[in-house]
Amino acid sequence: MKKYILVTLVMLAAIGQWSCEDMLDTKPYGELDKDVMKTEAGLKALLYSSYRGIQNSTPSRWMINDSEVTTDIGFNTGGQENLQMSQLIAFTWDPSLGTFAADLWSPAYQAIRDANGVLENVTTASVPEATARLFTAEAKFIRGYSFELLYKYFGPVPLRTSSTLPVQLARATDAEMRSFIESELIAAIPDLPNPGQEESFGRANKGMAYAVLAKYYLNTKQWQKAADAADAVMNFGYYQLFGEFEHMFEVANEGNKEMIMVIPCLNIDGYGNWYSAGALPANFKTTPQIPGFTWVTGMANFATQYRLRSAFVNTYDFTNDSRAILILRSYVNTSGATVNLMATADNARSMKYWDNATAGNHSGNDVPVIRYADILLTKAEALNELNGPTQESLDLINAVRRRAGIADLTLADATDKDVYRDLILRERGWEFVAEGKRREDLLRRGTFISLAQARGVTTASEKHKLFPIPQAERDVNKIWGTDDY
Amino acid sequence: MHKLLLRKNNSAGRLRLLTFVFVLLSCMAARAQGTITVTGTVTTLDTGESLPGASVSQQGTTNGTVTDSDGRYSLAVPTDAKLVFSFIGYLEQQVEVGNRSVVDMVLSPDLTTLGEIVVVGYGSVKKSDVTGAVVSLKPADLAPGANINVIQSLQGRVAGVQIAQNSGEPGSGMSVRVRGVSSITASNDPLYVIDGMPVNNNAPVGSAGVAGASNNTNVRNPLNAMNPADIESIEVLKDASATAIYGSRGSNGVILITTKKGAAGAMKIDYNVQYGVQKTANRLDLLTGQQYHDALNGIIDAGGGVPSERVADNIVNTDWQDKMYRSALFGSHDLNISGGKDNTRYYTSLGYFSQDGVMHNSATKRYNLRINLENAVARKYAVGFNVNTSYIQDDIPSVGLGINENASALYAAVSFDPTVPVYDEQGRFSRPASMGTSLDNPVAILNGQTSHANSFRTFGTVYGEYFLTPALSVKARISGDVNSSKRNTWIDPSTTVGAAFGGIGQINTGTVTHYMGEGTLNYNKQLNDNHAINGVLGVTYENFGSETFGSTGKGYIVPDLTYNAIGTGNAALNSIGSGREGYVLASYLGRVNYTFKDRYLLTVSFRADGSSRFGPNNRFAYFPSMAAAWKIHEEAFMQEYSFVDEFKLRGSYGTVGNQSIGNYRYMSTYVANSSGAVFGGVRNTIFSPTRVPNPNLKWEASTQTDIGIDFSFFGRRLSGSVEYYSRKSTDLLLDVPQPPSTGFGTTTENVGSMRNSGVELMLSGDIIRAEKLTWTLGGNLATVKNKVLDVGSNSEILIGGVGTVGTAGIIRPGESIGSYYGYRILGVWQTADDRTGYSNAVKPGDFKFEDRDDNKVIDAADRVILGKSIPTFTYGLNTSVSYGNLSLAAFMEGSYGASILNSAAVDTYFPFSFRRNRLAEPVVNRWTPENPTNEYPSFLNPTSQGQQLVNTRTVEKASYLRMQSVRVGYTINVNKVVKHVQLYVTGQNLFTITDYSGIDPAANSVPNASGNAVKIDYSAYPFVRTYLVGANIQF
Repeated sequence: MKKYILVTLVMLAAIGQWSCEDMLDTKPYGELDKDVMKTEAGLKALLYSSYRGIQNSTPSRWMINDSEVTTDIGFNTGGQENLQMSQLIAFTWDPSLGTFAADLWSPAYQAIRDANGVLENVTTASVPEATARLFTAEAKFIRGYSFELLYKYFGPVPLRTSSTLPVQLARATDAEMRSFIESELIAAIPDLPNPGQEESFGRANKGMAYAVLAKYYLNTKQWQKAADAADAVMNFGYYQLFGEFEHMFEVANEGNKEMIMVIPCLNIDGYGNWYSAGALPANFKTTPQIPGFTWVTGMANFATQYRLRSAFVNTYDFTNDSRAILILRSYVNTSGATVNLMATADNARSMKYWDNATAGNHSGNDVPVIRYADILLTKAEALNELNGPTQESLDLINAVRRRAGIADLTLADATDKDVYRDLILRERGWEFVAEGKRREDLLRRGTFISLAQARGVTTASEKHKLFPIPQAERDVNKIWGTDDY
Repeated sequence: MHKLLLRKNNSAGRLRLLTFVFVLLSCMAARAQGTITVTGTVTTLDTGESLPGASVSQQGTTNGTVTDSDGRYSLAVPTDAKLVFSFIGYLEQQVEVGNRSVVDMVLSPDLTTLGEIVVVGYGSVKKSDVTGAVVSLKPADLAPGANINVIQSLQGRVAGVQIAQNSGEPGSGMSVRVRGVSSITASNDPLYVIDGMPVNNNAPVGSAGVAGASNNTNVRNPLNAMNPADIESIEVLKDASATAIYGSRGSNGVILITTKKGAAGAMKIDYNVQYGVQKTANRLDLLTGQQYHDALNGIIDAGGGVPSERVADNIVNTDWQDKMYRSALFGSHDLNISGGKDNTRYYTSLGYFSQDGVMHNSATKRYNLRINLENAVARKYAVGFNVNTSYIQDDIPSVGLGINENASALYAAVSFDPTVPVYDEQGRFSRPASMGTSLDNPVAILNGQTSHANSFRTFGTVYGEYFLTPALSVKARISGDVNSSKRNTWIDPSTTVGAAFGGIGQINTGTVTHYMGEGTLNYNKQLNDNHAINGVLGVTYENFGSETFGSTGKGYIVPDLTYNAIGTGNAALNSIGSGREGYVLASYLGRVNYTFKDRYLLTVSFRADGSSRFGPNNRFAYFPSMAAAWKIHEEAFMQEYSFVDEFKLRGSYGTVGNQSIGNYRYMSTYVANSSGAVFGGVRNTIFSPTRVPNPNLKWEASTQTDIGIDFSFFGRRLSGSVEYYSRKSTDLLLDVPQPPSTGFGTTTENVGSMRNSGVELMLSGDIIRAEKLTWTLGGNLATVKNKVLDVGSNSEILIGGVGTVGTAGIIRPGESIGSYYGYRILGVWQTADDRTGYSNAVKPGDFKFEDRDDNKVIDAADRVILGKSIPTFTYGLNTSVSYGNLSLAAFMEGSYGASILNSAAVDTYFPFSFRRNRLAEPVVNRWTPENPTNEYPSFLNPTSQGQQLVNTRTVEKASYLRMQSVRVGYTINVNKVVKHVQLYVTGQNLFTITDYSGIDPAANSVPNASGNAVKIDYSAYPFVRTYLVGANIQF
C-alpha cells in the first residue's frame, strides 16, 4: 500500500509545481515577435506588406467599376455584384455599400498602417543608412499615394500618420489633407531611384512619384503644377507609348515602358484580375476582333455583366481606332452562333484584360494605375486650362491619337478652351475605359452629376461627388455626424 | 444440473455438493418446524438479467439474505411470511410466500430513485442530495437509433438543453446550447468532461476552401470518436452551483459523460447489432421541367426577363435533387465484455459504426476500442485507467456556402436548369447556355469535388486514489487526448473549377492535443446523526495545443493520381503552409457539501482559473458559487402526507466564466505571409501586424441564479422538477470592430452584457405499473428568453451573411441575440393600388414592402426585426410501454417560436439570373392580373425596389414537432448461455410537423460563422429518415 501513497503524493507534488503563474506564459509559435522589426529583413517585409495594400489585384475590378458605372461609359447587370453596382448606377448608394470599405478604404489604410510601421521602426532598426533612406522614401510614397486615393474618392479623411494616434480620429480639413499629400510625395522623391533603377518593377521610383503628383495636381486643378510634374515624368526620357494599343495590356507585354505604375496581377488565387470574368458575355467562345483569344473551359464567365454604354461606344471610330478592337461588339458563342452585342442597348464589353492563361476567375493582366498616355493627356489638359488650345498641347494629345491610328486634332477642331476640354475628355474615354479614370475625369469637367441626371438618374445630387465615409468606419469612429458625407 | 456438479471432480464441485446437501437438509428441517425454505431467482425487468446482490428479507424481521452472482437466493421463513425484495435503483416488491418453495421475482427499475448516485464535477453525490440544477440520464433515457455520437440521442431529452444537428450529413457537427446563448464572439458550446477529463473539442482540420471551390463548413463532430454504447450515464450541469467548479469554462453548461465499468461477478458479454436504411426526409419542392418551362415563358410573355431567355419547348425533365441522393445503408456492431474478480473490474468494448450518407460521396465509418480497468477496495484505494481509441473515415461531399462558379453540388442542384439532361449527346456533362458558365453541372460537382478524411483520436486517464483514513483520500489523475486528422480534397478537371487549374489537390492535416494533471483531496464523513460533510480541494494543470499543415497542388497533366501524388502537378503552383498554437490553464478548486439532519443541504464551491489567453494584468479569475436545498419531505410535519416521496426546494447563485476565444489576443506580434507583394511578377513574403493587442483582456463572466423544486409523489409514480433561472453575462468577449482607418478589422474586448432567463419543467409518470404491463410517460419543456443588454459603444451590430445575403441579423440591446433584421412585406401591389410617389419601376405584382419612414423608397431605414433564431420554448416527449416481452418506446422533440432564413426562398425571389430554377409554390401561384394574390409577386422585375433579401417571405417560422424515434422490441430469455436476446426495429425522424418550406427547420448551414447569432438554411444537406432493425444479445 505504501507504493500507492508514494505514487499519489509524487503526483500531487508534481501538479503543485505546475500551477505556478509563469507556466501561463505561452509562446505564439506561428507568429513573429515584434523585435523582428529591428532587422532589415523584417522591416523590408513590413514595407512589402505596405505595398500589398496598394497592390489591390482582385478588388481592382471594383475600383474600375466604382469609377465607371457611375458615369456615362459603364453599366452592369446580373449576378451578385449587381447588388452593389445597381446602387452605384442609380446613385442610391449609402455608406453601407460594401465596396467603399472593402475595395477602397480598408486596403488604402492597411497600406498606411504598415507605412507608418516602417517609418516608426526604421530609426531603431539595424539597417544601413542608404537602405533606411530608401525605405523611408518608399513608405512616404505609399502614404502619399494612399491618401491621394482616399481623397479622390472620399474627400478629406482622417490623417492617420502614426500608430499612436487615438482610435477616434477626426477627418482632416481639406487644407491639411492637400498639404499632407503634396508634401509627402515631394518628400519621397529625393531618395527614390530613377525609373528603371528600382530593385524590381513595381517598387517605387521617382517617375511613379512625379506621376502620382501630376495626377493629384490635375484632379485638384492646380494646372501649372500638374504640367510641371508631368514634365518631370517626361524629362526622365524613360517612358514611351507602347506601339500597338490592342496588345498593350497582354500579360506578355507587362512592364512595358508605358506602364508607370500598375496594380500587379497574376493568374493565381489572391492575385487575379477578375475584370474579364465579369466582362465576358454569356457563353463567349471567340471573337473575330481578337483572334488571339479563345475562351476555354475553366475560365470563369460571371453571372454579372460588365457592360459599356451604347452612347459612349458609338463614339469610337470602329474603322481606324485600334482602341476599338478591344471594345467587344460581336462574338461567337460556345454553340457556334454569332452574337451581336450592339443589338442590345449598353451591351458592348471592354476586353482590355483578356488572357489565354486565365485560370478560373484569375487573369494575369496588370491593371494600369498611371500610363504614360495619361501623363501626356494630363499635360495637354493642364496646358489647355492655363493657355487654351495650343499646338504644344495638341501635339501631346495627337501622340496618343497617332498611336491609336486616328487623325490628328488641329486648332481647327479645338476652337476654344471649352471645346478642347470636351475633345480631351472624349479622348480620355476612348483611351482609358476599363481603367477606372472616368469618374475623376467627369468631376474635373464638372459633368459628373449633370450627366447622371441626363441619364434619368434623378437622385443624383451635388453630394454624390464624393463617396460617403464607409459605414464600417462611422460605426466605430464616432466623430462622424449623421450626414452621410 | 446437480448431476453435472457431481461429475466434476474438483473441490468447488465438492463444496457445492456439500452446500446442496446442507440446504436440502435444512429445508427438510424447516418444513418440519412450520417454516419453509424459499429459493428463487431475482431478475430485472429492463434487461431481463439476473440481479446479484439484491436483498431478500422477511418483512418486519432481520431475517434476510442477498442473491448470489447468478441472482439466486435461498431463505428460510415462516409459511405466512411476506418477502421483501429490494435493490438500489429498483422498486421494492413485497410478496406473500404462501406455500411456495420457489419465488422468482422481477424487479422493475426505479427511474427516479432517490438512492441513485449522480456524478458532479470532481465527485459524486446521492441524487437526493443534489443542490444544483443537474439532470442525470441513463442510456435508457436516450433516444435510440443510428446515432454516431451521444449528443444526437440527447436531443429533446433535457429541459433547457437545445440540441440541433447542423445538417443531415453523417457525423454532422452539433449545436448544443445549455440555457440559451451567453456570448457573442466566444464559443457557446458547453464543456464536455469524459470520465473526469475536460475535453478539448476543437476539430483538428477545419474547412478550408480549395481555390474557391465550395468548402464544407460543417466540420464533423469531434465527439464522434466516442462510442455511445460505452456510456453509463450523462449528467448535464446547468446552474452556476453545479458548473462553477469548472470555473472559466462553466458558463455554457457542462456535460459529464461517465463510461461503463465492469461489475463484480462472472464475465458478461453484450453484443448489439443494427442495420438500417436511410432516405431523405424532405427535399425542396422545385419547379419541374414542365413547370419551369411554363412559368418562365409565362413571365417573359407578361413582360419580365428577356425574350432570348425563353425556355425551349423540347424539354428533358431532370430532377437534379434526385441525382444527388440515394437510399443509404447504415450498420453498427458493438461488442463489450465486462466483469470483475477480487478487487479488479474490467470493461472493454469494440465498436464499428458505418453510415453512408443519403447524398452520394458522403459517409462516415468509425472503429473504436475502449478499455476501462480498475483495481479498488472501497475506502482503501483505487487505481485504474480508461482508454478510448478510435479511427474514423469520413467521405465529405460537396456541400458548402459558395455561389455561382464556387457553388456546391447541392446549391447547383437547386438552381440548375431542369429542362436539360445530365449528359449531352456526346456523353459530356451538359452545360447549357441558359446557365452561362457561371454555374457548373450539379452532377459534375457532385462527383468531381470530394474530400476524404482519416481521423485518429485516443484519449484516456490514469488515476490513483488512496484513503489516508476512511474519510480522507488523496487522488491524482493524469489525462491525455490526441486527435489527429488528415483531410484530402480533390477538385477534378471534369468540373469547371478543376478545369481552370488542371485539377486541384489539397491535403490538410491537424493535431489537437490536450493533457492534464490533477490532484485532489477528498473528505467524506457522516460526523454524527446531524452533520455530514463532503468536500474536495484540488489543483489542476491543463495544456492545450494544436498544429496544422496544409499543401495544395495544381496543374496535373492527367488527373489520375489526385492527392495521392500531390507534388506531381505544376511545381510553380504548389503552396504549403503550417501553424501551431497552444494555451495553458492552471486552476485551484474546492467544494464543500454540508448536510444537517439529512434535511438542510449547503454547497459552497470555488475555483480560481489562470489562463495564458489573457495578459498578465488579468490572468487569474475567481468563480465562487453557493447553493442550498431543503428536503421538505423529511420534515416531521410532512409525514402525514404519505403520498409525498420527495419535495425538495433548492436555490443557487454563483459566477462562471467563458474563455473560449483565440490565443495570444493580448500580444502584439507579426504574421508572415509567403504570398504577399508582387514585384516583377514575383511574389514576396510580407510581415503584417497581427492584431490590436489588448493587454487588459479578461474573462467573460456570468452570474446565475437558480431556484427549483424536485418532487416525487404517489410511490414515485409522478416525479419531476420545475425551476427558474436567470443568467447575466457581462464583460462579454466581443470582437469589437475597429475603425478600418486603423488598418485593423477587430480587436477582442470585454464589452457588453446579456441576460438569459427561463423556466424548465421535467415530468415523468408511471401510468401503469403492473407486473406484465407498464406504461410510462415523460416530458420536458423549457423556455429561453435572451435579451441583449449592452453591446458597448456600437449601439448595434449587424451579423450573419451568406451567399448574396450580406447581413441577416442584428444584435441590438433589448432584443434577442439572434434577431433577423430586414423588410416586412405587407402584400403585393395590386392594379388598383395608389402608388403615387413611388418610382415608376414599381409595378403591380411587385412586393409591397412596409415603408416605415414613408419616403416612398424602400431602403435600409425600413428594416425591422423579423424574428429570432432562439426558440421561445423547446420541449420533448417520451413514452414507453412494455407488455410481457414486448416493449415500445417513442421520443418526440419540438421547438416553438424560432425563425430561420431560407436561402432557397432568397434565390427564388431574387434569382442570380433569370434562368435559375426556384421553389415551385411561389412561382406557380405567382401574381398575375387574373390571380391578384397578396402572397407571391409577379416575378417580372424582382429588383424594382432593390434587393430586400431578408424579408418576411424569406425569414420563415421554424417551429416544429418531430417524431424523433420509435423503437419496438421483443425480448426472449433464451437459456443459460445466451441469457437474453432482444430484437427491435427503430424508426428515426419518422415525421416532422412544420410550416417551414426549406429542407429542415433545424438546419444550420453556417454553424460557426453565425452560430452565435442567426440560423441560415443554405443548401443544407437534407435530414434523413432511418429505419433499422437490431438485435441485442447478452451472454
